[in-house]
Amino acid sequence: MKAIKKFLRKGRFQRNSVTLRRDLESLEDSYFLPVIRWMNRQLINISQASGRRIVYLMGKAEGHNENWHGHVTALTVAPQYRRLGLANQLMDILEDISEKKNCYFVDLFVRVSNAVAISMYKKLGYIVYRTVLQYYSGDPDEDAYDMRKALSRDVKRKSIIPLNEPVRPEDIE
Amino acid sequence: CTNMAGRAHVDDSVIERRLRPIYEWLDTGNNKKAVQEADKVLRKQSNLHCARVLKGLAQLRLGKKEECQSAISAVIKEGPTDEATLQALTICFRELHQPEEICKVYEAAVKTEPKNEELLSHLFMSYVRIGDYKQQQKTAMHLYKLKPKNPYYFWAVMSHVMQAHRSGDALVQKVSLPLAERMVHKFVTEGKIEAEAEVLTYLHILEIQGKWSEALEVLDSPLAGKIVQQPQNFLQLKRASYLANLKSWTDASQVYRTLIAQEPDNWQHYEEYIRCSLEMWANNETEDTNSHDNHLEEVSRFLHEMQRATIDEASKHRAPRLGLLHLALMLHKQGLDDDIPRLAGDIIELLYQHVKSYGDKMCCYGDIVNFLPLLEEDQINTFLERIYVLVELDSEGVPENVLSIYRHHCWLQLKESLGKQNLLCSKHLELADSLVNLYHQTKHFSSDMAATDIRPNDTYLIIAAHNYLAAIKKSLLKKENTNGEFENDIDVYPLIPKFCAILEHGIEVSKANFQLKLLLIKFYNMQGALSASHIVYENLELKHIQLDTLGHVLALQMTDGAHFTAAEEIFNTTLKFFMANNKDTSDPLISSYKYGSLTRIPEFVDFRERLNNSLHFATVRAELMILELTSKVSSPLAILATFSGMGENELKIEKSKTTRDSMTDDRPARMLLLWASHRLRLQEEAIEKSREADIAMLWLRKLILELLAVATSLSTFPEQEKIARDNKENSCVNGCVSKSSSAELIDVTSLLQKRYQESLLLPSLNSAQFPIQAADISRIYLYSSSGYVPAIVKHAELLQVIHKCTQDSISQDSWSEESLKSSRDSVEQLLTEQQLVLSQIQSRPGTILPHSNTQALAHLTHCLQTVGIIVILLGSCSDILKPVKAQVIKKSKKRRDPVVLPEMIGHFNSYLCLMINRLEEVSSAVEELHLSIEVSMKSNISSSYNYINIDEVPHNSSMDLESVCQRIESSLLSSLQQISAAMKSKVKYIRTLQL
Repeated sequence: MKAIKKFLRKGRFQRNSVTLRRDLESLEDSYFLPVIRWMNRQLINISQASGRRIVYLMGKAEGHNENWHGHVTALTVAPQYRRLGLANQLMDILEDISEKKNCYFVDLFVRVSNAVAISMYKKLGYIVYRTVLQYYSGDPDEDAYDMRKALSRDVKRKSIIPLNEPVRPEDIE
Repeated sequence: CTNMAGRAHVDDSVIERRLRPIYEWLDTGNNKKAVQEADKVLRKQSNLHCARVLKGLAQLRLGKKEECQSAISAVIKEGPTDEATLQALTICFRELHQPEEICKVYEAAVKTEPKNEELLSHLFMSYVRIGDYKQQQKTAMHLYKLKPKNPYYFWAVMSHVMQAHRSGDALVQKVSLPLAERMVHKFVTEGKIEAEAEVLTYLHILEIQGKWSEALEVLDSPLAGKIVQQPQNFLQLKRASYLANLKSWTDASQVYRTLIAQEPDNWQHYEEYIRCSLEMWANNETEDTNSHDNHLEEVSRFLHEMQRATIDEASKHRAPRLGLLHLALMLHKQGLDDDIPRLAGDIIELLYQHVKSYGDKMCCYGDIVNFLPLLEEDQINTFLERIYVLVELDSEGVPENVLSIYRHHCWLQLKESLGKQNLLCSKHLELADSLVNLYHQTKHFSSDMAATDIRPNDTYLIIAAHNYLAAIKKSLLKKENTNGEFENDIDVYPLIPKFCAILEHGIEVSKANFQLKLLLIKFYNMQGALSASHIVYENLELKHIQLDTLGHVLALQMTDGAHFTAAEEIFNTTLKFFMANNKDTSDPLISSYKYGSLTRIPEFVDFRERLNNSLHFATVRAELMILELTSKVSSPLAILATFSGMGENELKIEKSKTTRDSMTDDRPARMLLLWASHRLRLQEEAIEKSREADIAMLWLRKLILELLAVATSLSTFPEQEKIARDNKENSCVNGCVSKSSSAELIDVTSLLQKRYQESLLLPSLNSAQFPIQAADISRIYLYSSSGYVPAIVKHAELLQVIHKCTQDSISQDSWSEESLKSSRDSVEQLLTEQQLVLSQIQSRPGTILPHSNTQALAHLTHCLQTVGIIVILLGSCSDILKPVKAQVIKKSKKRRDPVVLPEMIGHFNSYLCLMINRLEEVSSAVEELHLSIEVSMKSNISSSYNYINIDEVPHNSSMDLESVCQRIESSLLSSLQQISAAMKSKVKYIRTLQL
């Protein structure tokens, strides 16, 4: 249930709904492109107390050619279950599936203020690829780091050469 | 060619270049510019379909719905087939909430170009949007015949599956699923299966039919080789679940055992392993008695091994440490308690070891709470004492570091859960006070934390709050039940604002802690201080699905507490989310077909339906309409406009799609942390009762709305009514057979009366027994406790009589003043009661009996809304009587006689006068109260509320006790002010009804 709301990436959603062109991929292109939104059910669920979901990750594979990558849409751990390594376990699963899907890299967006998350991703081998300006709407808007980790298919590690200039949200994709 | 008409003879790339700026303006939300740009393009190429539609879209977004409708219907008449125009139309209809129109557009386009693959696939998607599975299936097969590609074929397969999904029709189930299975089977035998998604779909079809052995065969066939993009344990998990479903317990438990070895920290494997193993034992699967007996020992040995390995490796894994406890719990559930020591070991020791290793993590209590029933009553003290030793407090009983705070929390929670339930009020208060002290003594540990982090010491406040709540509840219970245990009276009420101040402080420090915020809302609601709740509510920033699951903390309370403006705001935000649901869930559905995540489709459909059937959604919708009708209405046309916004079928319960049984309640019964949960079965029942009562309330409110709609149409369209009556029941209005409004009015009135009678029979719930931690007790108990519905029924009957009496001059004689009497009495009684209600309002913060103001305000609001509803009914009466009066005057003028109005009109007028007088009396009483509270508030502020004689815990927070008290008082003032304003506007409106 909770997972669904995360499909609506904040801010971007409104714009996407009108961007006719982007939806216009003809069937030929996307014909069974294995873009699968997998909502992982293998969540490490140890909250027997209520069967409550304590951690979830949503991801998808997207992009064309060398931009074909696994994307972490959302990763959330309930406060009581933090610092147990649960996020790592889920990220491992996502990276495993992204490998299987022949992706070049995995990426994710994180608030620049979210130091805990950033350091966790760094420990997992992610680097800050670029800054996306005012990605998170709010008062004031906040920038995002686009963090990446190359997968085995990206032999030359081209996907993780950092960009020096920040980009605007409308220029990503 | 119509196509050419839309696109003229201009090169495609030129068109694209011209349109681009329009898209860009739309994208950036600058709709005015988009309209201007579209006009510019249309000057060059007046007929360009796409530009016309985009202009319509921009107009729609500017709120000009009609302009948009007429622009797009003109384009549709010309039969557009180009991609861009059709896409733009799709978006228009999506935003107009008319997804079925999208189908029509593509149906027409496909008729023009039947071989256009792209158009057909869009047609397919348009059916996906509205869930028309039959048409989906036809279109998919059409596509497959045109271009034999596997996805199209599987779209058809999945459409069959979806026809059976949630279909109550057994026949559909029996036909659709085997059909889908045969279609896939055909592909399998012909070797045409290509993609992983196709195999997953096959498995899904077999699973929902319970064909486990067939599914197992697929796993053993080369088809399994296609499954390459799933998580590592995917195939094993499937196999194990199929085996378990086949009751091959030995094999299933074997697979789970392997899985545990591979993923020692995956808890679900343990649960399944133990379940299958016990089933195997219980079903005596093996013949050999020896191995049968040994079997449980084998399970125990394996779990012991896993535990030991974890300890030896000093790994972080928690699951292996809990395996034996789960085995014990399952044995306990099967009544095999005697085997527990032998197979699982010493429960206290196992629990102790877990706390020893994980006590310093927040999750520890949650890990073991389920196993607490394993403890015998006489073991509890020993256990708690042992755990207490682990906590490590300093000489003053304060934790020395963050880790010891967590251990302390674990111990406190265990004590809450296992400890004595029948504590005295004073004990709860003592404990709460000491926890608040600990909260302050440990706050330096979190001084350098990020704003988004929940403070480790917050839990002290939460447990303290629950103890305050317990104390309040106990003192309330005692008030209700004077025979209760004797206890020295402790005045808990001054503590409520004090604790509000403490929570306000907690929230200021720990901005991310929603538990504290929810608790604070409960505390404010209890005192009827809704504008204070509202501030906290805004701070919660509820979004999307939370508006459904958590909306119950503060939505209906706002109307009932007479904060009408804020209520409307919350209702509108909530409805916006639900209305967008259809659109928002369509996109993932379409992507699922497009990208072959076929097995996700039922999940999305379930999610969509769940939201559509949400009890909260339906309730908010009905309440918003009642709120609007009773607060803003100034003419019958405005009433009709309100109804037309809703759609007639939604209104008529009998016709609406959502049935009583399908209502889903997404409010978690336990949104707040709750300890001692395993002892609260009774409360679970109370929650379920309350849910049923909530549904009954919704039905009453919907019937009232239906009544108003019927009444209004009766008086607004007398011609239609006449035709309908002349043709008896079978008149034709606008081509549809309709019952006459007067007949409907009679039906609805008696149904309302019946439902009201039923509501009186609902099992009663005592608010003091109801867990404060769950959703509030249903509103129907208060609503039915006074004459609100009966008064409405009486006036509906009055309308019936007046309508009947005005049909011809003979009927008029059947009128007597008696016809009015019972209606008048009902209103007089209601309004008189309000004087008593007003006298019950308690204005001094710190002396407010919990729930008393909340209930008083709810009575005032219900009275106000009832009057509002009655006035609409009287409005209908007035509309019916107007022509009667006009006719009499006309006749008298002709004959130059003095005007002698029928008795009925005189009685009606004097009734309205009486009502105005009574309303004015109540409203001036409200104003008086308002004034006196204003005065006392001033003096309270100047004396810093020093009548509340409690020591305030010093802290530097902007929200101290005084500001809390001020908020409570000004909220009350605002409620009273809104009530008296609404009453005055009612009086104004009634004056216009006088004849």
